[in-house]
Amino acid sequence: MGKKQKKKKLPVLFIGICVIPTVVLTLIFKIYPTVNTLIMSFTDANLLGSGTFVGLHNYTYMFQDKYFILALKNTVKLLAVVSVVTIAFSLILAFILTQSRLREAGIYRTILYIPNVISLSVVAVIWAFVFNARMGIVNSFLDSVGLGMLKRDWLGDSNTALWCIGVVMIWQAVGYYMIMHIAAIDGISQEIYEAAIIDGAGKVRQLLSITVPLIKNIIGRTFILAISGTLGMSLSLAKVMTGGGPNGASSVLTYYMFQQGMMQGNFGYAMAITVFTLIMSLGLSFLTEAITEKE
Amino acid sequence: MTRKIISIMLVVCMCAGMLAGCGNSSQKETAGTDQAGEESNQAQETGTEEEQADAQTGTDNAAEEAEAVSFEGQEMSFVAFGGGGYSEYWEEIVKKFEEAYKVTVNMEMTPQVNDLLQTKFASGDVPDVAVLTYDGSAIANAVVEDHALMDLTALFEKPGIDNEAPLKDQMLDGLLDSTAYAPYGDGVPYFAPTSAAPNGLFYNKTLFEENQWEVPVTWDDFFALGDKAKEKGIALFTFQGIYPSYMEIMIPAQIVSALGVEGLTDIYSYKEGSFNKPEIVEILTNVQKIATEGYLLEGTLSMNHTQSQSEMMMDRALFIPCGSYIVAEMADAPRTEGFSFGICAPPVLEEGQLPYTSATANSLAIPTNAKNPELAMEFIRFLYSDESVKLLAEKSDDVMALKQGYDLASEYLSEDMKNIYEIYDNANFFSVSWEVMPSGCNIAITNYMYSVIADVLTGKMSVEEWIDGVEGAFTEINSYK
Repeated sequence: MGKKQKKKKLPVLFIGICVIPTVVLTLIFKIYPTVNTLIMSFTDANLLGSGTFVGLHNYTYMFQDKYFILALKNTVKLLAVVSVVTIAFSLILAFILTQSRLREAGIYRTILYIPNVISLSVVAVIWAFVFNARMGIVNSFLDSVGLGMLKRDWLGDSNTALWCIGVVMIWQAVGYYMIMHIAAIDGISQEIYEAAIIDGAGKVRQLLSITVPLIKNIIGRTFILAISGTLGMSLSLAKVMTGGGPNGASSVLTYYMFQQGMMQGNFGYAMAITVFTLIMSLGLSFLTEAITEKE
Repeated sequence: MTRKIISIMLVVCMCAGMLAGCGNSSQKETAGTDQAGEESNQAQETGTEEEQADAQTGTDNAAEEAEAVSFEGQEMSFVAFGGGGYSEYWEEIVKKFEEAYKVTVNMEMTPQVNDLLQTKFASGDVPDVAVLTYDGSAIANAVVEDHALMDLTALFEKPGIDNEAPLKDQMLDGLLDSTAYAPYGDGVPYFAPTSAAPNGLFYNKTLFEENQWEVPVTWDDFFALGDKAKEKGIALFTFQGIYPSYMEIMIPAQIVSALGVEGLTDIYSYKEGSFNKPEIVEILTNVQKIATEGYLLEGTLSMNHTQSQSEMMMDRALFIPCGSYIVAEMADAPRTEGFSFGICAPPVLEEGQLPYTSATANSLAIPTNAKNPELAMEFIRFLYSDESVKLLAEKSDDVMALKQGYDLASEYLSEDMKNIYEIYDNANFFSVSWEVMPSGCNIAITNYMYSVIADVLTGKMSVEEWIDGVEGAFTEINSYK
């Protein structure tokens, strides 16, 4: 008995040796910079890190800074629309590919996933040409179908620049979440769908009444990922496609943070924007989780 | 037992060898220093003997000799910009400097020189000299704000290598004491100019010759030419739409023509009321007219630098604001047959006003904590030698910011570059940089000054609102002073 207990004892030393490098790396490259970011957000530090303590000035100043408010509004618009549309599209595509029994489902899955493996900068450059007013295919297409009056400088127009970035985000991310949803839908017993078909349920009813409720926890998780993905992608796309313009119309929090920190050298303020963005995304993640858990 | 004794002996020998190595090294260093000291003394003595024969010449020679001796064997670190043709220039000139002074230069060359300097300054491991330009970049702003650069007055008081006049008198007029090189506004240089290549409005010289078009001087000429170009289906103007700060080449030059360098210096020092002047209203209204009256190339606002520059080179727009780096940047870009670069100054408000043009400043700086600032200064002095000026032109198609720079360089410059330097036949040169932001102020002035241009051109913002926005920013900046 005693021998058995001895055998069951955890190899603490071995586990410790395995875990310590990860813990140390996490402390150095994750925890320390995060704590440092928080500390710097209370200073007027420049690019070299020197600065004096300014209390909450950076945080209060944010809400008087019209370019920050514009970036915040744009970010909220993107989060509200892009995250929801991405998850909705990916769910519909996943449902179609799993339930329609298409022979070529594998090809569609691959094609839809490909944008996710292309470098974001390359994606941004390609789409900048797609939306180009003079040689882009969007305006050429509109011309060819007789809708020339809808032609415009898509990225140079403050009404459309942000949404062009949104379209690219959806195109880029939808395949990734689709794969996750396909995996989740595959876990639902086929008998439930068969029973629903016997009861006369159509495809839309099956999607809304069977698929969505049964994988709602996964949808909640993917929605959280979509929120962080949207925030993450927004910097590269805004920087390459529009430079945050015209006049801040497509600027987002991450881009404004980059502009203040790396271009202007206002590191203290940029760190405050970073902390604000972090708190905002954490808040949204907790909110999403609370809603999906509650239901 | 015998093996143990042999092992111990081997260990003892090894340790002794190590210690002996240390001993030799220190002895060598001491010997070297002594030798240098003796040579230095000898040099001084020689100087004294020569002084008796020819006081002036003797002193100069002794000073030169002493300098040469004192630098021999020394080391310095250098962070250089590697890109375009500059890599080759830096490699060769550093080699020549090492040979001439018998010193070692540890050079790090990268196209991302500002990124490298950021880590070096932040860690305290600064180079002795670096390619660093006060151009509004975050690193330049930070080192100026932190007073992390050395006053270079002593360097510019020194005579040149090939010309005995003090270096400050050899530099292009109006350069050294401008805020681009003397960032604190007191005329004390902290940046040493290398090249100051002209910016301006670029056009296809061949297209102008074929159509017998005159280069416009005033805004009226500019718009009249725009009407002629319209008939041929060519837009008058385009710019790097998603990077609106390229308009800094277009607007400040006109302000200098209308209000003088002082007028622009006031604006760049955030002086309240300096931007709200009738002349500036007139200039900005003309800028707005480019779009509202149909002179702007369609799609300009969403174009990046290479796209818009290509449009000019394909004769879809007559003018684009840019620096002379356009020649290298667009070397592989498609262009119309016979295309050749021409450049002119931005238009002036009235006939009789002097056209002005800015320059793309390139400079070097020595950090305050540099380990060998004397050698670093001597290196910069060496860069102003005739040999270096010629090499810069040959390898980088660029001209050193010296009065004699163009004459020395011209035989090595490309035809395009020669065309570009012709701008100085008709336009004056100015150099002004933004004053460093007061501590704690988070305003990005370029947003208020240039990002708004998109809204002004599309009619979403009036010129008055543009001016009010800039003046509002100035008021806020001054509240931090």
